[in-house]
Amino acid sequence: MTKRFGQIPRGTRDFLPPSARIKYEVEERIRSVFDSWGYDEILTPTFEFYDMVSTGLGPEIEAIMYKFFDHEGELLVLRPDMTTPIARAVATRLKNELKPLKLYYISDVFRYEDLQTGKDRQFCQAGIELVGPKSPLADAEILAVAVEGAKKSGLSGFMIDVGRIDYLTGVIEDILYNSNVDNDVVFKIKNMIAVKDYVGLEKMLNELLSKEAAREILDLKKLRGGRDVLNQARRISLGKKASNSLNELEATLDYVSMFGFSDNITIDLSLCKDFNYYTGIVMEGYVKDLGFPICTGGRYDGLCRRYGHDIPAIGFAMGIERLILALERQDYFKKDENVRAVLDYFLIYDRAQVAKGIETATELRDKGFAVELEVMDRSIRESKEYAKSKDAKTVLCIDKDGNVFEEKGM
Amino acid sequence: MKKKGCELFMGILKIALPKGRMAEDTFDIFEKIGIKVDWVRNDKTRRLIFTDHENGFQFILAKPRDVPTYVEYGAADIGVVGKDTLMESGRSLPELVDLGIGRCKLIVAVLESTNINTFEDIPFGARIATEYPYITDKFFSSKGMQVDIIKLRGSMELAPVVGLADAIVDITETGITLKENKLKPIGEISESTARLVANRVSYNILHDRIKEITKSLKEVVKCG
Repeated sequence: MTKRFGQIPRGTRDFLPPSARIKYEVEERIRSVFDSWGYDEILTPTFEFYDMVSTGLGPEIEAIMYKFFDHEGELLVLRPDMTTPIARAVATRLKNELKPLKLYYISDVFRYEDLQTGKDRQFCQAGIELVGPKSPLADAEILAVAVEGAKKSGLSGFMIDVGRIDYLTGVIEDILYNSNVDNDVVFKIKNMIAVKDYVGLEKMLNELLSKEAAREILDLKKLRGGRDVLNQARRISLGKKASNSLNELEATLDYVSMFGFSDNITIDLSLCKDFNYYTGIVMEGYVKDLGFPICTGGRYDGLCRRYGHDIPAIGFAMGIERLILALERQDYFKKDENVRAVLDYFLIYDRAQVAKGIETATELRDKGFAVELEVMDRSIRESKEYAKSKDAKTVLCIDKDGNVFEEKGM
Repeated sequence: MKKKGCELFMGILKIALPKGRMAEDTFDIFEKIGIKVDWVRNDKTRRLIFTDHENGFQFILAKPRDVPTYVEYGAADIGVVGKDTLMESGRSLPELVDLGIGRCKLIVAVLESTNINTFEDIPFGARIATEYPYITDKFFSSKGMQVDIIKLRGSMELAPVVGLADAIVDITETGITLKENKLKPIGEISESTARLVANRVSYNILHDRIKEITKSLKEVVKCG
């Protein structure tokens, strides 16, 4: 027996009752939203070939995958996300299906996150992928489903920052057009903007660029707010890439307005996530109660091509554990109406009436109730104590004559 | 960390301030931009959390090493931390202002009596004592050099003297401690100053207030 007996690997957790049920309920609410928008569930294997997954992923996630060998010496990984396995499935097995493909998943993924950050190494993601359409309406749909999913789960104050990687790239390229800089400078700039290292960015730009060019790039972070941001953005010198992007974003916002959730959206044109992966709209969802984003996503038109089928795609993923943490911080589970008692009946019976107890329980279960039959030989007081701990809605007692009556005061 | 109802209602901005070396300069610079912290500075108790309901601030006094953690988790919305500490934490945090205070250099130093005068003179597998193992590892790796890192918590200057290490990686402000311990710096890894960092979500939620503070701090830093 090792010293670790009883422990579980760092970054993993047990979901003991009632946490497991809470997690399940939250997932089911999100699932109902996905269903109501016409998305179908897809399940993929928990582990995949390393080569397959690394085809689609950026270096940051590649570095933190759980890798292992099978008995034939093939290198495998525990899936670190769902988007790449789905892209694989879409490109190889669904490419002849009628479009759009609307897929959803609620699955665990695995990442060997640095212990320091206290992040989970196994966590559940609920998300959708919309494959086929490349349009502002498709972009708006993703945002809508995310907002609705968050709301349905019980979360309040859910906000999504929305940006466009193609705008940012286009504008930076425009600004740098007349400056004499290496190719990797655009990459470095986007990197710093992605992590919001504005101090580092300012220092680098002041060395490499003219004062005006440096200032223009640093001012990109001011492009944050409501629709007026689009006007500001248009006033910056624009090439085709950037202005097309803004037009699409504007159309997306029009649809968002029609869907009725403009209040949940903030435009942030400096939002720059995983820019090797995303090609258009990017999104980050959060609430003030949690220091980490809850939801992340965007358009990634180049991914399926890597698996052999060139088709646009867009999606998002929500971290279920983070969502639940945020709900806890909002005291959501403290409100009685938000926590469902699952057990309808707890049945206590006199020793002589076991048969009647079983019969009653069976009858009730056939009617669709959740029933627990006392199976331990103990005093009525102890039984009632247990029933209370299980949050049973009703306690039934069967006396020695076989009469069934409801126990009051539970 | 549960947020109390009154915090949300008052719109409290939580600031993690570093104890120790940079504390005084940090208090000074916040006073300069009009954020009252003298009452925190002058508090003689061991209190670590100070809430100013009137002005909507909560100050959290933390060990410099812990500031990045507080901010990353959102236990603090913004914080002041040295770039050296920030780099060592390996955490990527939105970095908003270079405050110019707490200026120091991260250097490699050896005993004056040795023949080591440049980085390249450091032998393969040399023992390097440091409070910054992550930065040290990255630095020597980037130079293609393999070293043995000994993590210590303080008084780095002792290590070469007692034969525990061949060199140290440490911060230095004036160079006096090195000299006093008969150590000589043989090269600089990087310079470090205090930075204002923010939690990624707080940066969005409390954007206007943080922007205001950032602007004021930048002006004060510029004017000296």
